[in-house]
Amino acid sequence: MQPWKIYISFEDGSRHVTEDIRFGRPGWGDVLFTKGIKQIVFPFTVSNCRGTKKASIILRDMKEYNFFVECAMNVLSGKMITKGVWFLGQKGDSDVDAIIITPDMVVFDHFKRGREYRGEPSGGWKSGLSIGNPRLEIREGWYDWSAN
Amino acid sequence: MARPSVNLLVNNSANDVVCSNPAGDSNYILFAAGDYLTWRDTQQLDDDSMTAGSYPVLIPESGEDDAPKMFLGDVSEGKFKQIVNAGNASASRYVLAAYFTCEPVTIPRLEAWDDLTHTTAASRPLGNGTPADSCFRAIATTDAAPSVDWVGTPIAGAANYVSLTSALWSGAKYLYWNMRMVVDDSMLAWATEDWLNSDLVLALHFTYN
Repeated sequence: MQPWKIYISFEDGSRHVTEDIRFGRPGWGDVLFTKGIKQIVFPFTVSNCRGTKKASIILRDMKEYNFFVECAMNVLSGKMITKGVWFLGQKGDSDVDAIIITPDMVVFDHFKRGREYRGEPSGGWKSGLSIGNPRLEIREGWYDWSAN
Repeated sequence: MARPSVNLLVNNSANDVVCSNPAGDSNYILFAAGDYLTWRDTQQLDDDSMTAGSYPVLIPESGEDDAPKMFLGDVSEGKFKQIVNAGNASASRYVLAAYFTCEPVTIPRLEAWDDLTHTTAASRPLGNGTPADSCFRAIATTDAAPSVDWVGTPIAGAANYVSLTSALWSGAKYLYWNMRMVVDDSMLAWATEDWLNSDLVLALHFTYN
């Protein structure tokens, strides 16, 4: 398992791994998924003054899923700055849970669908299964996606 | 979608027309590395050399006023290139443009920050901590022309921005906006370094997946 890729499990047991999300072409929006998503796992590393730790974001049993990278381009220099990485799961008719990774912190948040990105909608949502108990969590270590 | 490539262009002509080429055309100039935006007094003319006479904006003794002219500092040519229809003296729609090679995931926003780190927006020109007092006012014109004397939104930081269109789209697209700079008599109290602040940045904020 490599960090910075999204590991996706579908309802029929098949799997898909995106490209490394740090390099401009993550491969979420470009791929048409024909099956419902059961789970997505995102392994990453967290660094602070005490060292580096492995962690995983896990979203399961959501009605719909979304992911995007937030960036800003300086008008004058053309330089691109990555502001954050967003993972979102819609639980019911309109409730959206989100984990946002920024350069400084990891944030849990909740939104209404259609207002999930700073009060505005986002595109690129993909279907899930909407069964069981939807959950979004961060675990220490790199979660073994193939065993779950 | 992959991360869009974004070209920034300014309309150097009096023609209020769409841009026909992401690399620039007979009306539009493509931003190049090192180029910058600046506002000048009426005496500054299109194609003036950047090393010749420079005519800064005059601060009114009382009340507020619009900076008269907006220019692209075209470093490769060494000239001030006037953005002729910038400001609210006319209802011009096609003044500044951003060409997106593909659609982002959320509607792009125009923001202003103190510097390249995008961590603060509290400098004097951006309102000194009061974003509504930002000198820089912008209006999105992608979907419709503004009215003459449009006011615009003061831009400063992440919370005070301009959405450059009203809805998500599919494929390549030009987004347009217009800008003005407002100067007022309170600026007479500014320190020299506030005026010579060259760290300010405009930024386009968007997403991709």
